[in-house]
Amino acid sequence: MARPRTVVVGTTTPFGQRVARALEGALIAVTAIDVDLDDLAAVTDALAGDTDAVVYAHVDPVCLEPCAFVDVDPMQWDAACERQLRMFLHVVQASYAPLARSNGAMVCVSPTIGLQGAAGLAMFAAVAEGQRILAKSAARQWANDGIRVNIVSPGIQDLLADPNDARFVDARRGRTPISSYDTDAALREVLPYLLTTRALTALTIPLDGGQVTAL
Amino acid sequence: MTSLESRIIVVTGAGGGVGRGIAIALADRGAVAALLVRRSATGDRVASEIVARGGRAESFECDVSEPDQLRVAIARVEAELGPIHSVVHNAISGRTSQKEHLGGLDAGSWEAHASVGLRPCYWLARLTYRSLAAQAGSFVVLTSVDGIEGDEDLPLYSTVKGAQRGLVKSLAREWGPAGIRVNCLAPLAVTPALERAIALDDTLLPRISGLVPLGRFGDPVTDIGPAAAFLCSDEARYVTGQTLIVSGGRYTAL
Repeated sequence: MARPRTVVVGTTTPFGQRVARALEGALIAVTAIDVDLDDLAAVTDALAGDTDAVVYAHVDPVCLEPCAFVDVDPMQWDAACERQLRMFLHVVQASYAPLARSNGAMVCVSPTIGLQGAAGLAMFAAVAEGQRILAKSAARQWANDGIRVNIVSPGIQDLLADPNDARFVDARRGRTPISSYDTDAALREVLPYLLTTRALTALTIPLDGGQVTAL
Repeated sequence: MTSLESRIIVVTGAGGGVGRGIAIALADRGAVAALLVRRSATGDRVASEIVARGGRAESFECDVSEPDQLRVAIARVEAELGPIHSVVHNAISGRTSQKEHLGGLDAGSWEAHASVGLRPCYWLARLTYRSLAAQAGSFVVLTSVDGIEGDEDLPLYSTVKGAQRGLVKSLAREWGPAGIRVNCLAPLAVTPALERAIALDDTLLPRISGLVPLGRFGDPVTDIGPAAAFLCSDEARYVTGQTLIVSGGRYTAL
């Protein structure tokens, strides 16, 4: 019989890799799955078996391309918005059965941009907030099956190849109260807690050094 | 009363329920209501109701999940009525009130919700931007408290409503310099679906109304419509990127 495992989805994306490293840094063995997230059957197969935790950390670089919303063509809309939501939905769907068996936990990475919005990144904000609310809905629906679902929200600066990229001025508003904030250290601390505590579900924790305080 | 005199305002899903209430309230305040409806019979009925009250309205048959139909409908509104001042996207999927379990969704569920609630936000924004910018107009999306809290029974509906809010906040930031305001309205109202449920269970209305501090569900015409009219009016000229929750005090933690 296979050992229970923590699955990280999205390790083909830069932030997903940071999440996997953070878990490994906290001495949690990670199973990275690299399957076509558009394919529900493939995702279901990948998550089947003994899985006690799923971390969704797929932050697709296509979402990080700023553009004026009126210039977005239908293919871009699908690629950067609806497809991202469909992929997350597939992972949520496929997570239910294994997590119900293990009374496990799910954590979703959903950037704070969904809470604040940002000019030039409207589709990314829609994805982030749609994912966050789907995670909260799953938390409510699955609570009596023993499954907990929570959300961690990094700031936009942690998702960018160049945090000082001038195109993201609107998305980087505000001072960071913890000026020396270390997101990787925060991930190492918070993710293992959320994967093991039985006390919390449907919670959103901003990992942005205190920028978002409206929750 | 808020004045919307002669403003052309598009309302999707205007054939009944909240959409009908909003269209009537807008027209009562002088707007010309462009009713985008899936079936012309329902739109014509609401347009007649508005005209009988002394208002102006035209019905345009359009399935908002079909981009080509939406494109044609918006072009017709502009050609027949004039430049669009505001858009109120209210249409929702027919599956909205169907309970869904995330472990057993059928293949068409997501498309059913996204094609009516989310994708038309993109198309309406794209098709009306120039008109809205020229008139310093307003773009309003009917969301839901479920899009803030999530909902165990309606997870896909909630997801779409949440995504709408992320989109609206961003468009408010992006379109603010062009003078366009973008907001959400989250109503708690008597809808046709609720009326059908109440007809089947005479204990339902008192039970659910008891959860509302003001003791009743909102009326689409007199409670929800005026809030939409406010968001389309100059009185809301300093309001953008917000979700106005019109719930009789039902939700106070948001």
